[in-house]
Amino acid sequence: MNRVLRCVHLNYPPVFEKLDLSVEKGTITSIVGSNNCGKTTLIKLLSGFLPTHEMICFGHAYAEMENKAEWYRTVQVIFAKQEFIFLRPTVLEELLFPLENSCVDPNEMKEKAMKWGKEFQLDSLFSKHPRDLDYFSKLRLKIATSTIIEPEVLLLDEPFFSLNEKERMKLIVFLHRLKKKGITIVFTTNHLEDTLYSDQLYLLEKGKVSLKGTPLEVYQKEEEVSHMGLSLPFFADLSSKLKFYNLLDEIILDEEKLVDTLWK
Amino acid sequence: MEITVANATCGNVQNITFSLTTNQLTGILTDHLEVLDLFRGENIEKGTIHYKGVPDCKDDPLLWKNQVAFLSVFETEPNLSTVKEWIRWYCYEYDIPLSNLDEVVADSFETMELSQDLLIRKWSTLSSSEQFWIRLALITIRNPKVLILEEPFSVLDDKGKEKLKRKLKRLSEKPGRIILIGSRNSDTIAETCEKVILFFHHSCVKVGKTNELFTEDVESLIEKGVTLPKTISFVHKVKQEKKIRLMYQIDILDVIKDVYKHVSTK
Repeated sequence: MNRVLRCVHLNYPPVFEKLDLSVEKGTITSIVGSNNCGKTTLIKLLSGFLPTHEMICFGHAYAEMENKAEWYRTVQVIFAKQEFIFLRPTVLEELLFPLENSCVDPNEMKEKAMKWGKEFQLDSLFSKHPRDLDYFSKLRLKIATSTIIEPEVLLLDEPFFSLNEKERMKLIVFLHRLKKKGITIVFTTNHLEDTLYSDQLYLLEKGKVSLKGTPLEVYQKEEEVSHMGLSLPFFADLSSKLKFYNLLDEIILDEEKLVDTLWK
Repeated sequence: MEITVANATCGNVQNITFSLTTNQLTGILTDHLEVLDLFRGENIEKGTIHYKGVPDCKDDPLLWKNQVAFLSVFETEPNLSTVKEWIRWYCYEYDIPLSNLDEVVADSFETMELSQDLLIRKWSTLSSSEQFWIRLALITIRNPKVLILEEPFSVLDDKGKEKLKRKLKRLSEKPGRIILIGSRNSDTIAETCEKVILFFHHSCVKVGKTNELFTEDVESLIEKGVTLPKTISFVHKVKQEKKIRLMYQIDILDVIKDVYKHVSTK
């Protein structure tokens, strides 16, 4: 696999000291940590919003490069807790906007916008004004407009913030669709529950990576995780406790499998 | 102090009637947070919402605004430089006397276990959890009779959640105070609140004590599209698929004890 991002000993005093981060192309990476551990700052650094002396590269693109258009075509960022800014009067026009800026053939633009909108279940909202949408629709629209130009990397700060269970699952499906298209996704979250379907996760603590690995590898280190003030996802927690009482041999993250294992 | 809502219609929420009493944490579990607009009073199209002991919002808007406080994590703040400046703006907005402001702010920061160093920070450099705690600290200065929080747990990690539960419990003990927590997350509502109102598909599905509400008549809650706490969903799945007679319980340890009985006696 190609590595799309590699930061070695990233310094950004006083938040980060010698932070190591590496992301493979076409994967979903989650960055988890308790409040004030620097998650948003890290996304700001990676997206080039915060200046740093370190060189942060995504493939051949880097934040300080002169060709800014190339940088924005490579890296897109969404801060889900901030108010989304939409510039056009309808959802469909908002989807067309990034295509117009990228000089896509006008004959293909509308077709692509409609197809992309459909992928994010926005087709029934095409004629609506973006400001009239509910929060989850706005988030979907923001992700759709950021990815319609098919950037290499999508950085998301707290995308699961304020989503209910059904919306959370839908967003995970959308992110996996983007992953299939080869887009690398990096997102931050306060909750391990959101990391279940990622390929790798980094746990940040006091400006350093304290744990990394696949979700299952991290969930197995329950003591270290709880020491950081985080709790395991529901099924990891349940099966870990059942394992403690010798009712299970391993941590099972899938509900069906857990029920079938308990009552064969 | 109590809140009485009678046949109220507000936006898509139609003909709602219920009443709430003081000194308990009440959760509003909903699929659309717009239902909280109902409690803002001014948006009611039909029917009434009456806060006993608080004048109608149309008769005395300033007094009403000070006694019925809203705290939303979706709020954006004016682009002022430091937290201290923002606090002064907040005091003008809510008519809070500025005479001994520093002392009052210091006290409220201490209550919320916040560092005084935050006062000299730029608002834009604060994390969302720090912004949340400062907003809550300032609301306590206003000493409102009704405190309505919109998705308060969404910006907090697990330590922060526990801290907020403690603080809200303490705040709710003040005589005559009502605290309402609006959320779409059934787990946090079930863990935190003593009483729950379920609003789904623009209508009030059920009101009751948390334990009873989520553990009785689960089938009808599912039919009405209510999002259940994860423990309840798990037990429901086991009952449905394996015909095992587990009991509906909110606490994960109680569920495990019950699972242990059924698995080890299999």
